[in-house]
Amino acid sequence: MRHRLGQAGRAVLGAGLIVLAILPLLPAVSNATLFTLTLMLTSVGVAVNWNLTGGFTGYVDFGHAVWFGIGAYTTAILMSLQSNGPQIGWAPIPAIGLGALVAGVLAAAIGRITMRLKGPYFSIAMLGTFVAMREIVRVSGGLTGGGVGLTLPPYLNRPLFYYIQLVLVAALVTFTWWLRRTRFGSALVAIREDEIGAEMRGINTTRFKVTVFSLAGLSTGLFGGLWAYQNTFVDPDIAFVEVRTIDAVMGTMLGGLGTVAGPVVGTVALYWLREVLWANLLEYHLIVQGGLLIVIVLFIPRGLVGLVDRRGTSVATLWERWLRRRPAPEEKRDKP
Amino acid sequence: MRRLANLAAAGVALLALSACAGVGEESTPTPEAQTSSEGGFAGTVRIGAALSETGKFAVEGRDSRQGYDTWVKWVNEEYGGIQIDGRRYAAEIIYYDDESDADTAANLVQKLIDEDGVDFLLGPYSSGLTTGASAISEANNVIMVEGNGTSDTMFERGFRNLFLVATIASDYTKSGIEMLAGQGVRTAVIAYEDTSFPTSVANGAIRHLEDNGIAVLAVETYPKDIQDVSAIMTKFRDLDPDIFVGGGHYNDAVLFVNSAKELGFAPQGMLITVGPSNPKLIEELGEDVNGVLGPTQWESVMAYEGPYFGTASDYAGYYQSLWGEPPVYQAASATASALALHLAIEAAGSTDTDEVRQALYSLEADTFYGPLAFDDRGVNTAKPMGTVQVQDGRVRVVAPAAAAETAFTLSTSAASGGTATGFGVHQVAQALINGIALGGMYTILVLGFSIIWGVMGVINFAHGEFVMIGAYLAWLANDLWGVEPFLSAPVVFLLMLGLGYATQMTLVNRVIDRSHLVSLLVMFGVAIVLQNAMKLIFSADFRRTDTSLGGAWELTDHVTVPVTRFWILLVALAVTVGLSLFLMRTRLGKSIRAAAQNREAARILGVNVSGVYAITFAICIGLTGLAGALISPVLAISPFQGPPLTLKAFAITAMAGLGSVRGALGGAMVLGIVEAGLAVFIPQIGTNLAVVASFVILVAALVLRPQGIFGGLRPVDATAS
Repeated sequence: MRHRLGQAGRAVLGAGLIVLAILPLLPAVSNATLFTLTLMLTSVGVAVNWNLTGGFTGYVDFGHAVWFGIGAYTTAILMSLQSNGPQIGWAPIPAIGLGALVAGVLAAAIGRITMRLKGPYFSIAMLGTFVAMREIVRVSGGLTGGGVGLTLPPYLNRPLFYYIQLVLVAALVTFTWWLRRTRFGSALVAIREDEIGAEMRGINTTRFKVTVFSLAGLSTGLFGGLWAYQNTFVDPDIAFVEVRTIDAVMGTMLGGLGTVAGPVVGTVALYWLREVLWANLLEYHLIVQGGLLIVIVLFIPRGLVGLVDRRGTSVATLWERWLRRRPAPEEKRDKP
Repeated sequence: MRRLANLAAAGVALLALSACAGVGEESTPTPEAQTSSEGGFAGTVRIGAALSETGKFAVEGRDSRQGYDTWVKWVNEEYGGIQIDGRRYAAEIIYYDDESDADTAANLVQKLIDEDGVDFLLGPYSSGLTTGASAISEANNVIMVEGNGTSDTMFERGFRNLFLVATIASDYTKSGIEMLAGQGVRTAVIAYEDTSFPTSVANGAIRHLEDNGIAVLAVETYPKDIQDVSAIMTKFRDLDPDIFVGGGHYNDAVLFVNSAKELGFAPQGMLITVGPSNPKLIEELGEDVNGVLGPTQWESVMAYEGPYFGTASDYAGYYQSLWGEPPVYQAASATASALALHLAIEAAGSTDTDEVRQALYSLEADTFYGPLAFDDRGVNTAKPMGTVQVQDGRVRVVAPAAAAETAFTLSTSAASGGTATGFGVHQVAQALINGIALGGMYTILVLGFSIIWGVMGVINFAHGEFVMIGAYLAWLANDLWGVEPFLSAPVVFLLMLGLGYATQMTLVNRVIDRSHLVSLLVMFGVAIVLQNAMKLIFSADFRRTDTSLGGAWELTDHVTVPVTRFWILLVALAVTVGLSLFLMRTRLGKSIRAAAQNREAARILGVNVSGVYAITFAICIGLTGLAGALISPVLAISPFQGPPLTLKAFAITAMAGLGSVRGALGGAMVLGIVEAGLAVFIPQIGTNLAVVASFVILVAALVLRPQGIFGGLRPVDATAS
């Protein structure tokens, strides 16, 4: 499987970036559109981070949104600090920065424990971490405001938030692309393909996988902090939502697991698809989305990026696969 | 060339999808376009609202929209338009569907302001959505009047553009508690869902109780979407309070009333935050709900009157003529919000934000909804909260005195057998009994999941959804023909056997040989489809089945055995023994174990492995459905009850060993006892912690003893790849 960003892909991403960069300058583009695009960029960022562990390293994280919540809450706590009346809240930039750092450090600590587990055990342990963290935040009322949550001073400069996240996502994709070409990136893929083999060849697998896990956590925490500031309030049920993880998984699967462009292409496609579904199917869109997930996983396991790839899957082979129940080519099987 | 062909194919597929989606377009509600040129109006006042047409607030969102539209219809057709400076203006409301999602609601408010250029905003449904939406309207200096988001936090932010016509959350219980205090009530206990709105209500209730000299004996919180409140009710029963105050959402009301009955907890009064004013609760619970008190924003029988819409019952009649159903209070609150805005615009004689804001602050009016007058937070403090009581299967208004239909009654609590406080033997005994009963439920819930994983290596992430379908089948039989769930369970088993077989043939067969990720994600997709399909069919309301095997056996004053759970435990033990014998003694059972241990060897020795898989999956789904039917009288049935059950099944299986029948029993008992112990012995947050317990146990068990505690068909080794 090719993990590099193909020439065509690079051209598309580059052109897309230029369009996105000049978009806010056009008079026809309203703040509401920018807001939608900012939310989409946030999802893209989280999906790219999820792909670092889920796609490259092969550790499928079902609780990745926990870092988003940690980043959001740390930011909100720092910015809404009060002592007997007068606000002594932090400025947004250090608060969001520290939020990301806290998420990264916690990810390193928790990753050291949960990354000892393999396959579905890791997935579910992370889901457990996510649920547990939400309850911990909920019962720590003194610090987190409990179930009521915290409110932040409203500051709603849409173009600013849009540009910040655009630059972040662009930097993140570039970073992933670069990472994939380093020894570090190769080590991650080696862990995915054969962890014991990688270890035998002298790769310190624990260090590599925990490092990438905490980097992803830090980056998602950063998006969480930005989101909290834009949203102007947090409570446990909106800062820690399963849907954020589900979107990251779905976007990445749709675009192409373990590819650089996959999470970007997939998440954008997912948003576009949802606009279509939501506008027209109302009640049914989640049913369609669940069905779509089944179809992607069974028949287009290499995602949209894989479809365009030279050795990709044509509709004819998809149909053939359904009839013959042939597993997708080049897919890793579990050892018996 | 191949590449181009692929791209073209993908393009065609996407186009086809868009076209399919386009078919539904006509049924989409379009924004209400009121005629501005007809009828001689001088212009239009444009108002925007984001409301939930889909998602969890779809029903309340529709009620709110009908409430807003009632005002639009009335102001344009009956009243003759909004009067500004001697000229008449038509009212127009532009709606968007916020999908019950806070981000979306905020975004739509932004869109209404930027793209649609609305003059004013009306609120969305629920505190969560209003909190985000009001920050946007505040930052853009657009006034938002609302009646369906009442959490106190929103009004502590110093916003100048947010106005609430309804009573604020912290005053929900005020009139009820004042009335109860007048009847000599001395002690109370409180339980509430730890989310924004219920917390505001509960904090207010604690204050009102203290103000009225009622002692608060205990405060308990519980997480959102809780399915079982028996641990909380057990604790409360020991404290023997005069009244119970609690709740969060409609579904919790069902749980509290059921659980109180099941455990023999009978305080003189139960004041439940949300639910009692809704006639659906009486339909759902029958006479068990008699005597229950609850707050209400508004009822059509209240003695309110104003120059607009006339009396409360005139309004109800007008509403009924438009929509063919009586108004619920969410609808009345929505109409009142729009009316308050309308009156302020007329008083200001302008649509200028600053002038209308000033007019809202100085507004004083009597309406069908009650008096309107906003304080400097923007909260209507003139209208008191009403209190209703369910009497002889009807919802009657009992407070405040000015609006009451009838007097209320307190049930004469049988025995006040002395308050048991502190740590005692009876608490340990009760925790143990609760834990074992819970363990029995978990055993029957986990068996199917465990064996599918052990034998086929497939993690059935839709396990909880099959439980849910079994529960709904039992509920249907119970609701339509009054069949006892313990009797319909065998039929549910057979039906689910068929469903399991069908799922196996169409989907599961395709994922058996593939990586864990594939089976996990495919079954996850199945779970999403099943949840939402069931929600379309049955709605998201909680249901429960009736059983004659209910109530509690009293061992001593403070130790009781829940009868339904006891029978579930017996069935669980019988199934466990039966399943063990089946796997150990029968030829088919031996084939299943052989296929689990070494598929290739089993195949060489003549076992039809794919046949064995099909039978295994069918039996396990049958068992899972049976479990759903059995627990249907105890756990609330809803389309979204599945995921927590799947997670518990995973935790127990990983702890116990894959496919081990004895292990499932042992693991289930351990988890049940730990959860019950936490809930009983940790004050206030015990129920929240019980949610976390299964995960802590899971991770600890996996890390410390990866092969499982009890051994299994196939060893778990969570750290081996």
